[in-house]
Amino acid sequence: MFSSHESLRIPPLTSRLPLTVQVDGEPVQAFAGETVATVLLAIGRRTFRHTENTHAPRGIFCGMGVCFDCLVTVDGLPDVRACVTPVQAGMVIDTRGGSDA
Amino acid sequence: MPERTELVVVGAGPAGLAAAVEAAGLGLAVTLVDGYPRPGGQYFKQTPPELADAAGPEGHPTALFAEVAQADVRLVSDTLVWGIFPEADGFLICLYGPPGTPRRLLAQTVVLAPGAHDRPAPFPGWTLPGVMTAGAALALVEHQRVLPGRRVLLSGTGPLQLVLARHLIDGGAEVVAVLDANPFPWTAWQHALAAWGQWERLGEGWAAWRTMRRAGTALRWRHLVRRAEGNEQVERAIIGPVQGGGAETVAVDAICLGHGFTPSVQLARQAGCQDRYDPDQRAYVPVRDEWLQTTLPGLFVAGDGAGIGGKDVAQWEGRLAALGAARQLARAVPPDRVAAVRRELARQRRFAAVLTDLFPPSAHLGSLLTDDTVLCRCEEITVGEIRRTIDDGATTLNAVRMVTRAGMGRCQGRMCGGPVAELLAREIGQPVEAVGQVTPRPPVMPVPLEGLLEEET
Repeated sequence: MFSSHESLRIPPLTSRLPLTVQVDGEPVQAFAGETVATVLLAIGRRTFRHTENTHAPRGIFCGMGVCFDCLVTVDGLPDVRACVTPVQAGMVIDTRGGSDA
Repeated sequence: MPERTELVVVGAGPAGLAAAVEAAGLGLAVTLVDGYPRPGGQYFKQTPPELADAAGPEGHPTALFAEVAQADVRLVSDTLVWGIFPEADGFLICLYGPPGTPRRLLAQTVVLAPGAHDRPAPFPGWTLPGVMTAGAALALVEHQRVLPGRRVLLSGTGPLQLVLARHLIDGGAEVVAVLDANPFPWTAWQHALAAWGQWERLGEGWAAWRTMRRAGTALRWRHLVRRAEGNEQVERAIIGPVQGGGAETVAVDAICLGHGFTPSVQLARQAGCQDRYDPDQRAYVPVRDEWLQTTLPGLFVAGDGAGIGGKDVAQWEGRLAALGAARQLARAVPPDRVAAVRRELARQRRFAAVLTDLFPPSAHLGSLLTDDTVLCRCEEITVGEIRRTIDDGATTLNAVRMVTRAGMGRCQGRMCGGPVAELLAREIGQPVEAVGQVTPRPPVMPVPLEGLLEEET
């Protein structure tokens, strides 16, 4: 959706350690130290899930792990808080499941 | 059998770090439990070392990290405290952390230092992706080195918004405007004397203002965001004066809400501490004595979790609570140390009171709510549904929760508790303290069922 030059990451990126994760089946470049939320935002992804009742889009809100809005599936584990979960090489992130879906 | 210790400190922000250091210095056996991978809480949040490049903001250096590392403090990171239960011989602390973390601790004394979170400020469209708290945006820019959006609107009250605007502009974002719901604080000069010795913080505000001037960012008093619109994410903001007409539409891809902070009181309440409504803070705070001890002897609360005072008040409260815990354990507590801590705490509280006075929470937020505004983000309960419950006779927060499920979701009412109480109080014409609070139940944070067990499986 966004090409890399449109990334929201604040330069310089030169000293960062790149690694690859999977987002909804696609390989995506991330950097060590980033959270799942940062990786999603950096590729222009604002919507992290849809709610169970009204299928409303949700993304990062409190950014400190207390509101439970930014939930995604990580390595098969549902309801993981994207804002406080650091990425790791090879991590499989899924935003399509929806919570409790 | 749970491990026994003299003092458990919950939360490794300024209050918790200072409490742990002070207590260890008095010879107490201290365990410091924190929910994040690295200590610091929000004020002293540490940028992950891999992202701490030369171009980033300096962060918030504190001697407390070195002091806590040198002191005889056992640090348990990445671990949630989901319940505290008073027992005959102390407090049973229930933990859930990575494999190998103890699941139970039995503490003779406890210092809670849970901190605060951004005050939730509901308005139509506030659940759209791209709308987030100022705290979230600040953490993204400062510690993750990523922008929340390209065209960002800030709406709220107080000086944190200026700090955020500066970091966003420095990071390459366009800050469309900074809206402050309060009038310009003309009374600031009356408080100049109380701010004596706080020039560092005033300097931060000045630097932020200069950056905004250079970028041509408008700062508009008595204005706020009234509605966020968009399909899958926020695309437009409707902004206007807090009262009266004159709304305009601006294209944005992020909105940051900075309406101050509200204390995280869930653990203290779940443990059974009495609290009281503080109208200045517009929040419930635990009742404490002159040692910051709650109504449960041996359980203390320090820092923003007992009322927003900022990082310096928090540190001195942490130290005082540690002295109180030592006293409770019948240790020798040097009277001149107590006097010095109390003196410094009084000085810091004076400045905190000025800030609360200058930048009160906005009184206008309630007027923005429409029947289709979601109040409870977890259970997706709207203002209209809550109004219907009120029409049917509900007069307490617990009654509203039982009928609508508002406050029963994953966040346990941290987001909607305040706004629902204020709506209910307004609708029935009662003060907020008359509608009560929801009863917190363990676990106060969502924990997998397996995590509730005493031993790992």
